[in-house]
Amino acid sequence: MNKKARTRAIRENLSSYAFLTPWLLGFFLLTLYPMLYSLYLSFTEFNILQPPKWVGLRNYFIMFIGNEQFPRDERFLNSLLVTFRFVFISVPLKLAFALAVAMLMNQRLKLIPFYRTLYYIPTLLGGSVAIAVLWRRLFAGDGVLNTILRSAFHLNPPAWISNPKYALYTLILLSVWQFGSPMIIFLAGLKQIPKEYYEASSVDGAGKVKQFFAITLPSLSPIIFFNLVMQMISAFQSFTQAYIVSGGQGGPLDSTMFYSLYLYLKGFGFSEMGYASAMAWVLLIIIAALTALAFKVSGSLVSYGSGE
Amino acid sequence: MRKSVSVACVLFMCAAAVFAQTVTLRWAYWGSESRIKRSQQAIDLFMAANPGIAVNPEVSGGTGDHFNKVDTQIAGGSGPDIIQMGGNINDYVKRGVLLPLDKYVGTILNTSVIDPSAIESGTIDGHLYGVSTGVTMPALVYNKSLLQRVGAPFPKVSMTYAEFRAYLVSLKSKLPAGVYPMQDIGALSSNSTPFGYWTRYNGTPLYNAATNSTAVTAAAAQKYLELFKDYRDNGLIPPPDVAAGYAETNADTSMLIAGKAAIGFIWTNQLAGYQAATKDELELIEFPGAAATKALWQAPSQFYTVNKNSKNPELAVKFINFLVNSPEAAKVLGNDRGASASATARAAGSTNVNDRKVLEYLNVSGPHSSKETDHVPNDTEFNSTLFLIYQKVAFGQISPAAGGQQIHDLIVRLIKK
Repeated sequence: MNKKARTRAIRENLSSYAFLTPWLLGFFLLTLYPMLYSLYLSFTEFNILQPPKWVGLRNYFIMFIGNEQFPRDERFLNSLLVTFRFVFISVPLKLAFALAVAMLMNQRLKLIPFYRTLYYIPTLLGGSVAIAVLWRRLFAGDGVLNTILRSAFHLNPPAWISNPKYALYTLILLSVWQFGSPMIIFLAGLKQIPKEYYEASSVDGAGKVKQFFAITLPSLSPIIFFNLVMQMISAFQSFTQAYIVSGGQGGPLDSTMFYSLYLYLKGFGFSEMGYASAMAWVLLIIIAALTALAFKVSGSLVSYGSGE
Repeated sequence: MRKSVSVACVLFMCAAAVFAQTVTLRWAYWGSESRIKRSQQAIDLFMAANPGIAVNPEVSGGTGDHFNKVDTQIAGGSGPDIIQMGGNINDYVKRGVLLPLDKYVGTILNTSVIDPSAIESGTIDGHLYGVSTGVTMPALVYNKSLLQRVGAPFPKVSMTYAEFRAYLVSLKSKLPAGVYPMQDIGALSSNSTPFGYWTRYNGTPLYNAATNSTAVTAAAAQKYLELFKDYRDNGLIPPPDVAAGYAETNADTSMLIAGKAAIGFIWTNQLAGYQAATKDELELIEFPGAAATKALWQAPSQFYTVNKNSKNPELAVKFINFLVNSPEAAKVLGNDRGASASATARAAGSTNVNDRKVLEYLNVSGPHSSKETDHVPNDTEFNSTLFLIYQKVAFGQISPAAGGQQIHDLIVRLIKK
């Protein structure tokens, strides 16, 4: 009896593995193996077409330290700086904007489902090449925005997208504009806050602002935190917008040279796949470290409710 | 059930048999709309004359995308059969990607009608790897219609630098605000040809492969940066943020074609493509100072090369032979990939006005040329970094002196690499 049960358990296990096989194969061959291989490549010099040559820690050395023979890669440090600036400006702005819109969408109005769809559309379109091209036309020196500024306000605006001072901010704007997915998540969170809290507080004489800081924000804190981590991770990996808007150059003056864009340029443009692999691993470590930091800090700020 | 299975099997085998009769060649190249049209016409002619062979073009918009794609395909073991190469052919020969074509010479590939200099340019370490698509030369291009509209005189084909500057100044007074006498051609995002030209004019060529050295000193590079700073400060070329708005990778991103500059830079084989993008008439002139210094050069425009791992190398070579030597192909391809180096192709003649303009230009500037300078190793990195340094100077972040030093260090670093 016992033996029978065991064979049945084994058979069940086997069949579940059989059903999992396609996914497992995908995981091992298409995710795990390439990841480990890129880790190996990060210690080599590899031009794609010839076998990789082992160089130890040299790629990492060039990124951060450098010496006479292998000078430090200033463009790498710059790309890191540009990316950090992008993440730390765009993510909070985007979250604030998403929360504001979510609160508007949380009202009882007639056409609310329609508006919700409408405001989600930029998120569906935003990553596309067409929108990046559109952005270029909007903010170019003789683009739509400047034409309006010139004719209606008689201003002399700069060429936003090709001026190193402003180019990054046009990309930040593009990122903030795609506030749809955090907005939907915020909206779901807002619906979870019991109405009684607001009713009770208004009886006690709390105004809208007070309610927002005393009820809405604390109740939403786990959701804000979730959105923060997700948006931060994806912001670090931004690529398409910068690639298209800057014509693949990260310009002007490397002012939109995102980390992943430089990685791409190194790997595919300069045929330094080993160095590009090392960059990918550094990015992984940066994102992991920042996420861990966010979790650590969140302990005191995020309240998961006391339960009923 | 069994019946339907066997029917399906038969159907499948029939389909397989049909497909087996056609061999498909994959031809990877880059280019704009007009090149795609011309190439497709040549493919159609070839397929009509050679039933059973299909040619699939795999086109990228620019060189960067083309080589990214081809590199990835080759690394994945699925490279195209015929690959269009540029000045970087040496890099690919070094990496062992290309097939030596020597054994096809005289049988499938007729080289006896091709100019010896063109064959020489595709011969590396004693083996023929690339068949030249034709020759091309760097040139300045001006918008003739624009000059007519504003009542400005046309430039002379050959000028000194002093005459050239005086001409730009005279243009500036005629052009409306927002239109500049010349594009900022000092360094381009995907192209360092104007700098390469100037180093030859200055007697300090970029690179000598035999001695693995450069003649470009920090002072020489500084002089170049100052030359363009002078143009910029006097409004002869646009300010840096305006210039950066145009990627200048092809006609579609060109300031000249956008009508915002009177003079730009192209390679002669690009004339038809640029002309197709605008209603204004374009004309070619030389870089300043070429007549006295012979600093211009004729370059093989591109090469047709064959992937070492191609399954049908004979057919690939046959197709290449058709492209370069047959009069029918020459007629549809025109000068798009350079003025043909094949006598049989040239004999087909040309009625195309752009092709004739290029020929006229080659007749004048051919004698103002000398042998091409070797390409700096890691061409792509050189262009990209030179452009960055150039922009730093243009935006006033660093002085021309510091920029000159950085350019010198860059070349030295790439040579040592």
